[in-house]
Amino acid sequence: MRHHRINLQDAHTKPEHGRALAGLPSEASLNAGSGSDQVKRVAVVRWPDWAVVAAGAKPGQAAAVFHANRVVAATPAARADGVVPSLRRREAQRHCPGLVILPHDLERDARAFEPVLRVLEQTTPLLEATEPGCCTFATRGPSRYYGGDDALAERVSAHVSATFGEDTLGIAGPPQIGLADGVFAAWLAAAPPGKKHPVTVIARGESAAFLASFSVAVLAGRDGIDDRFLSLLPQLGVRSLGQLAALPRSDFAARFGHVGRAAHRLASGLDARPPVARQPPPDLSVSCVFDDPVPTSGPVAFAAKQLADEMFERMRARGLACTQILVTAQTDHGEQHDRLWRHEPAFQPVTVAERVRWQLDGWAQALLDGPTAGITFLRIAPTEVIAGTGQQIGFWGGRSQADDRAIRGVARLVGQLGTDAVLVPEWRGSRSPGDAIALVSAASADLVDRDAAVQKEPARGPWPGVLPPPSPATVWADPVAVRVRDAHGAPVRVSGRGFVSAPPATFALLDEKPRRVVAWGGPWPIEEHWWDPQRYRRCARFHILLDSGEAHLIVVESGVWRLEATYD
Amino acid sequence: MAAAAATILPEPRGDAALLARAAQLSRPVTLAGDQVLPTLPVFAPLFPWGGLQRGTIVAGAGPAARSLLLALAAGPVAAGAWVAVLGIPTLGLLAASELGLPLSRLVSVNVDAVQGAAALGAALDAFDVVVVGPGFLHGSDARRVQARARERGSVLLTVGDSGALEVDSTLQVASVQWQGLHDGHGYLRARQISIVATGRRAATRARKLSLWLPNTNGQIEAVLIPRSVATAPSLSDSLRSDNAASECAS
Repeated sequence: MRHHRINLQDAHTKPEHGRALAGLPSEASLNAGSGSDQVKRVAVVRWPDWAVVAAGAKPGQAAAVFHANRVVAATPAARADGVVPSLRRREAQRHCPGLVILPHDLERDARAFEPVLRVLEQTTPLLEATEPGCCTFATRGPSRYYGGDDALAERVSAHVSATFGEDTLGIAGPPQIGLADGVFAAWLAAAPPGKKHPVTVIARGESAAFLASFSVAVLAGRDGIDDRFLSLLPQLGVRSLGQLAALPRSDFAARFGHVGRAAHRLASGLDARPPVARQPPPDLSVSCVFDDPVPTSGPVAFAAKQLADEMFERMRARGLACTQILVTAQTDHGEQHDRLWRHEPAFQPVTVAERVRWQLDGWAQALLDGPTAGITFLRIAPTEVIAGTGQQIGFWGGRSQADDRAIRGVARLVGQLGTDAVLVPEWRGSRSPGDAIALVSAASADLVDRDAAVQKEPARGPWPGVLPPPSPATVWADPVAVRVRDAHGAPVRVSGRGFVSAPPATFALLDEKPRRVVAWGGPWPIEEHWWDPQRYRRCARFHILLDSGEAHLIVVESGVWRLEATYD
Repeated sequence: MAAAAATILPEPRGDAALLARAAQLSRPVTLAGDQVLPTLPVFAPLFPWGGLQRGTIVAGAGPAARSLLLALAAGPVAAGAWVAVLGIPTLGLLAASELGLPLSRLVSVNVDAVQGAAALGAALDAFDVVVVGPGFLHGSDARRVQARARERGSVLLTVGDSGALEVDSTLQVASVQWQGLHDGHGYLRARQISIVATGRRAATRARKLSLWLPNTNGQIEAVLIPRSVATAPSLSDSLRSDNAASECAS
């Protein structure tokens, strides 16, 4: 879910300075000791494998959703075979050979999640959508209304199950609900490993004890905590959150700065940042009226990007960043749709526009109370602000202005042409030049940090039998049949043992005049995917050079010659 | 404060102040050097500006045009620019990567001629280098796109037939010679191409260049030509050729 990598070291060098600028109270004035921190009691409702549900995996099917070659979500059947998130595609296929690979598409996941959000909204109005498959709400009010945390959690679980039924939610099953002090503890309570009962309630004040047994690895991706920091902790003998929380916070913060303090606060069952009792100034919200009602979400999301840019400009002037926004959309017929969105560590203009698109797409396909007219009004309001520590642009590498421009351009092209038309490369590895690098939809790829996705990894093993460079600049999508004849006009054949019947002398596309072959090399046989009857391939490749100077890669398979690629 | 400043700084004499002001007004906002995207140094002799000038359209034609344009785009993209490829679904991405083009900043757009002009306009806004396939634009669209490229400072590279576009520089691949493939043995290993660049305005004079694209080590480098035939080799070129010669000797 993290689309934006912030240069941690630079971004957090001066947290106190940023706080002072924003006029926020410093941590010392807010809490004299760690115990006096008031942590909001929250519930997290999540389906850890929402992506496979949204992708339409069938019950009992072993399927997984992949992003950048790694597992994001897997069905129960696939999990039973050992397919877990962050596994590489090849490893996953080794664990589970029949694994069905589903594409990653956040927009699809968000659209599918919208009906669930609408049902949950009937229980509590203050629902915050975090990401597709996960939402959060404060439980103080609802809990008092329904008679306690346990009653609330059971009610939510029963309500969702009753509304959707076993067959609609299908493999998603009942929601995993966690109720605890602080979002982090509630999030972990919602999906502890090997959990049987879907509801876990951690009593007030018990969050720190509940967290103590978890490994420090669960902090990954939280509030700017990076892998380098996490790999350092076990070397210092700090393996569990309990051990981390037992260290004096001030010493830990002195050694690791902002990241260390955030990690220590989370491990102690607090929020990463001290709570800020501060309403955002009202003039930070931005809105826009469309004179002509807009029927699709694309142009609205485009406008949302402009609005978000304006909003962030205003917040920057006050040294603020926001972690929660309220998006309101109205149609020409006066229907209104509101949704609170939360994003950690802070929103960016692009993520705001993305949330607007998710919200409108989800609303548009609502069965009962969907919009009956085009959108005429859009408003984005930051509802929770924090001191903005800013984003330091990397001195070497990092994210540049050209990157920002290109990302905006991609969003615009996707709006014009659809998600299937705008593609970015991803390394797959293969013996044929066309399959070594696949094109995936740019809408679902992380555009900022693509180096890992396109890099040839030596760990993925060599490809014996691959043709050496240079590679052809044209790879034909549908290889056309060609005629390859010897000097006597007879078709050239390659025997099962790789012997050529006669040297190729002429080459012709189907309806063209034969041209003379001046040089040729081959055959280079390959036999691939012998374990899979669908993809089994046994063929021999040749290089040929024509008298016109054209060079081609041709392939003979079952006696049929095809033009696979051209060196132009 | 203002009075203090006036007493410290001597008031410039009338003429000098006018001249300084005129110089400030007439100074270009960006210098010509800023308007050139850096290419690999071997391509410098093809362009009067030493690289791809922003806002221009460069057409590649002939048998190795695709590889040539990919290698041309590799320089700016390696330096941080992004490239969009429009309407060339058959592009060999592995070849692009081998020619030095970082695939992490490449976006491929599948688009037909119907939506082509709108998509190309959006691409020119956002990408420094845009590569389009043959026969992409017609008539008035071409003129609009041309103006857009000039205004946004993007470079448009066209592969094959450039249609109605008014091309600033045409790189015609005149000949291709392959090495490494023989009669029944060997493989396509190295390619030598000769390019004739013609253009408008400053680029009117035809420029010729022979290149290994790539050589047997996978590098792009100029072909060594005897000094008498070569057209005014630059110092760096001759240094490079000396190095290459000593490598060959050893």
